[in-house]
Amino acid sequence: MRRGVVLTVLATMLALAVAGTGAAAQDDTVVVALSSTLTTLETQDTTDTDSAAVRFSIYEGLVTINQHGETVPELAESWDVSEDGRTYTFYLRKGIKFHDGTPFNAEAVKVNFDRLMTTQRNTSAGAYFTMLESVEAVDEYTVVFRTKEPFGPFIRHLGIHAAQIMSPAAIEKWGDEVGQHPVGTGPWKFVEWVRGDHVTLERNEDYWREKPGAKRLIYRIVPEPSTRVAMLETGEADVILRVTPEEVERLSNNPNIRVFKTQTARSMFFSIHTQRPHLADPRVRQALNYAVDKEAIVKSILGGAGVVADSPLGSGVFGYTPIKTYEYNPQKARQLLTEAGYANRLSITIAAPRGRYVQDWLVAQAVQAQLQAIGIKAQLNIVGDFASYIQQITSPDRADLMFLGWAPSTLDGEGGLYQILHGDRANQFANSSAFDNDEFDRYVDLARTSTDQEQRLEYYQKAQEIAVEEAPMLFMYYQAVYTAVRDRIEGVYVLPSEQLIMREVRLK
Amino acid sequence: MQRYILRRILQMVPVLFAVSFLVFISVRLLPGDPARMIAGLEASEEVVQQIRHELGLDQPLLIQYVRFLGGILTGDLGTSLYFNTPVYEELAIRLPATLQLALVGTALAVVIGVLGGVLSAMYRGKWIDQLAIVLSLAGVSMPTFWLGILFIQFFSVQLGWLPSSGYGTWKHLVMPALTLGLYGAGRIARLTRSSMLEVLTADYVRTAHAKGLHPRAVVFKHAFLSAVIPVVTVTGLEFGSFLGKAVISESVFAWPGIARLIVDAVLHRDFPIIQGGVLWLALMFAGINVLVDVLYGYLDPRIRYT
Amino acid sequence: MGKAVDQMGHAAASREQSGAQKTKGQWWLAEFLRYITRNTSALIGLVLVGAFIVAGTVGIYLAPFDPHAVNLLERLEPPSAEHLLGTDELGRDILSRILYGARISLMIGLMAAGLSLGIGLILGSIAGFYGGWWDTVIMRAIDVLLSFPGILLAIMVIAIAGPGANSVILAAGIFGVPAMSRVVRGEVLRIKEREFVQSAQALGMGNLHILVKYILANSLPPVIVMTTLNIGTAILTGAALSFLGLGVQPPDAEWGAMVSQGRDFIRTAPHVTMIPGLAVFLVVLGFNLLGDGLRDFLDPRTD
Repeated sequence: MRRGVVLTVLATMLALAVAGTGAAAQDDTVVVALSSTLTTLETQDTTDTDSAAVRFSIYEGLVTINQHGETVPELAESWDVSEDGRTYTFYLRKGIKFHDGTPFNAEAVKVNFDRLMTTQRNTSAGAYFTMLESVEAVDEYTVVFRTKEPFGPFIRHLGIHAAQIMSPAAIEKWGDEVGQHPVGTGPWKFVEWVRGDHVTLERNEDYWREKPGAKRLIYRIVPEPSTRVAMLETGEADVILRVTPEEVERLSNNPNIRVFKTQTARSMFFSIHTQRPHLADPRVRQALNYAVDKEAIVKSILGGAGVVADSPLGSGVFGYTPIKTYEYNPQKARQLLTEAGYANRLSITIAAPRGRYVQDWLVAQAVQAQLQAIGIKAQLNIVGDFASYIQQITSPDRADLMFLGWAPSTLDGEGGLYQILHGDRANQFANSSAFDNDEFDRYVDLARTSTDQEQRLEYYQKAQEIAVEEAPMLFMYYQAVYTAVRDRIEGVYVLPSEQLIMREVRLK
Repeated sequence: MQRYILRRILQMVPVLFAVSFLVFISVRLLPGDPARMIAGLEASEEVVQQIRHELGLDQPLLIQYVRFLGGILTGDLGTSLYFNTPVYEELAIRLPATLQLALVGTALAVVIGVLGGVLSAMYRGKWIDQLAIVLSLAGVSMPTFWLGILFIQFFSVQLGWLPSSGYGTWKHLVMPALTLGLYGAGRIARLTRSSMLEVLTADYVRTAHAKGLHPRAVVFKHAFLSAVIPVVTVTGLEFGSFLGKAVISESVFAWPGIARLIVDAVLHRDFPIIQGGVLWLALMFAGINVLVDVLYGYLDPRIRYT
Repeated sequence: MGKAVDQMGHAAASREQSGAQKTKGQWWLAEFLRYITRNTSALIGLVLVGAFIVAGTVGIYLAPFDPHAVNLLERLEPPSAEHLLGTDELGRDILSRILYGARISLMIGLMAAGLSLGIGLILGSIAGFYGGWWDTVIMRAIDVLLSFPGILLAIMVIAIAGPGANSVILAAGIFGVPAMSRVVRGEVLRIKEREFVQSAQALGMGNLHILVKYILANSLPPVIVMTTLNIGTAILTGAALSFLGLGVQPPDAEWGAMVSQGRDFIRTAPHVTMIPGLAVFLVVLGFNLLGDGLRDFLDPRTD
């Protein structure tokens, strides 16, 4: 009897083992190894970069932000803005169908935006469109958006993934579960999603633009970085993201692998708590900026993946103007500290996350060491658990300096400056420097309500000048990311907002 | 026997109740805000506040707990905050992968461990013994993720024998199960060896020897069965720490199992998934220990169930 | 469940009496040292553990460099005459960090194992010795703790208490409590029934006296083996937590954290992870060999 039990168990195990199907890379299948678990594949939900990358394959928006950071038409052919800056009229592209055969038209756009504005759950995506008053379908291919007041960055907001258009039929059929049954107009059609393991897409044969050069696209979830590298080397994966600088050199020597760098819109900085007595003097904050050798950090720890920051805004963001870099000048730093009365007696706390940004914990340690080198007593606290870390941002007893990376999804100065530096948000999320400068606030407010894009640029430049001079941050660098692909494919790129785009992938 | 099993199952109820309370309280002691994790960094505090309200996280703890308990009784573990899908569904989808890994990993641990331990005891002091000791020590002395990464480097990248990660065929299972099993194998080998040594010198085994039974027969008929009892206990207990090792195996080899789901849920502050997952694991653990007790009945006739 | 564990080591029916005499002997340590010179593997264990303790106590004075001194121009250098074990991802001297980290790892291993031992001894002996209601409550509590996945408990302890060596100690210590309690309880239950305990009871000795002097002293062998294993396990738990990004945080040098952080460079600068990995391996090995030696020594059959 006992033997029987054992045999049954063994047989079951064997059956389980054999039953599965292998997902080995085939000639016309391209495999991407992503790092984090996908949350949902509907557009109007969470903002994690990897889920968004998959959505970019399935869905399209009225407009999109291309790899140079420009807003370009996609499902809309063109648009007008009214005199008062509150009415946007979009003329849609004709003859496009969703993957389920539903025609794409003005009504489809309206259904999506109505859902976005009224959704009962998960309002984070809806928050990008609180300025909307109404969306009306005027005729089959014309749709009119009205905003409550003039809102300068509106077109940029339409380019984010939350504004991508889902099939109205799918929304009606699946309701809140549409994220598990995504239907869009994009070059890739959804096939299956094995949760926690992979998502399979196939080529949309009716795609209105040039079709991708591969038949199938599989996104696999592989949390461990060194495993992803191994997969690329064995050919089990064709694309891996966020390759560490150390691996870049090694992988570049492999004839079957190509590595490329993408400058992202992410600005990396340490927010400086400006309302603490010892950090209230701008000279002290400038001294911190002069004390850190950003150039050396980018060159060595990041392996060149980045550009030294010369503004709080990332270089791919609308409104970015190069102001100035604080060069590495420990002498000047010491001098500024002496002037402010803090020579050899400044003591600060630093907090940094780990694993959130490229080599974040290494950079933080290097900064700590460099601050110590000019006589600042710097205590570093690295927090591996990001949920705990970001909670510190609004906590009154947070560290003096917090390492953060900011990349507004809209790639607009509004998202890049308002939340992290505007006085309205001082001590709230995410203005952890508690910066509160009336002149700065005024320019940011003007830029929001103006729809004249030239004018907006000017306001943003003024705002950035103030921010750089006042130094509410230790400006670090604009992060770049390395992506590695098997040489057999091409046409893969990464957006400044860090999403991998597989729309134009081709086999060599 | 049946009454014994029934009683044991009834005993599980207060334990599971205590586990439900413990997990409920401890997830809420965690710093960090689930609503913020859902909303993302760009969302304003007002939005986060609203999400918190929608999820019922602003309700008094007692009400939240009563709801949670009520849910358990009606078989509803709630909705994942992060995935927005039923917790039950998320767990059920990943259960087969985890069970497969657990069963094969444990089987490997037991087979390798017991075999190594028995050989080592039989040839005490000989080279076989020493080899087994060194290997079993290597099994317990190495960080699991390290072993996993080295396996991938060797078997996948260098030799190209096995896929480096993923779920599907038996080939995918080899490295994760081995990584998981080797640690247990080391522990079990050491335990088997020491209890075998104790049994081999016990009086009744000496008697058996004296009666002129073949040495191998002595080992298997008498010594082995007695020695294997503590091994069964430890295997049952090891399951409790299974998640700890499984999460590493599942991460390194991208194995879509429950362990990684739960640990990810902790990092994302997905309360319902953590609660539901821990309850499932507690249930499994309790079930396995009943099974272990029943196994004793077969292995050791001296034990009576009352 | 209790039934099962009572059987832990019931086969070792014969060792306690002579074991008791030995542990009572005054020259316990001297005798052990004499024994160990004849047992090569135990000797190796003693040497490894000894070296670890030396490194953990005076290591920081032997370090050739400041373990925190960052040098971005000398990153990831292989072992050389200047840096005997090479440099890490921030150009810090690995030898210095190993010596410095030995203290943290030693502390984590000993204190976590001590915590498990202390709580396990108390809970296990109360449950086993007094039985009845005590036994039921304690063992059910242990069941709850066992059913609660250890790694999750550890993650939560760290998330609540904040990252750092103390949290790792607490987490790894609690981790070891259930198994230790059960082993102690099993031993106590077994020894309680022996004649020498019963005669001590007949002589009117106090419960505590009997428990400590007769019962616990006789349950030492499995407890020692388990504690040595726990020391190693605690260090490995620290490494596992670092793998999840939650262990001892840099710039502090803890061995487990060094192994885990170094894995990013496993292909490009393998020494960064291999050296601390080897250190962890040797130390865990050392404690295990020593534990085995102690076990054999305490076991009458080795006479």
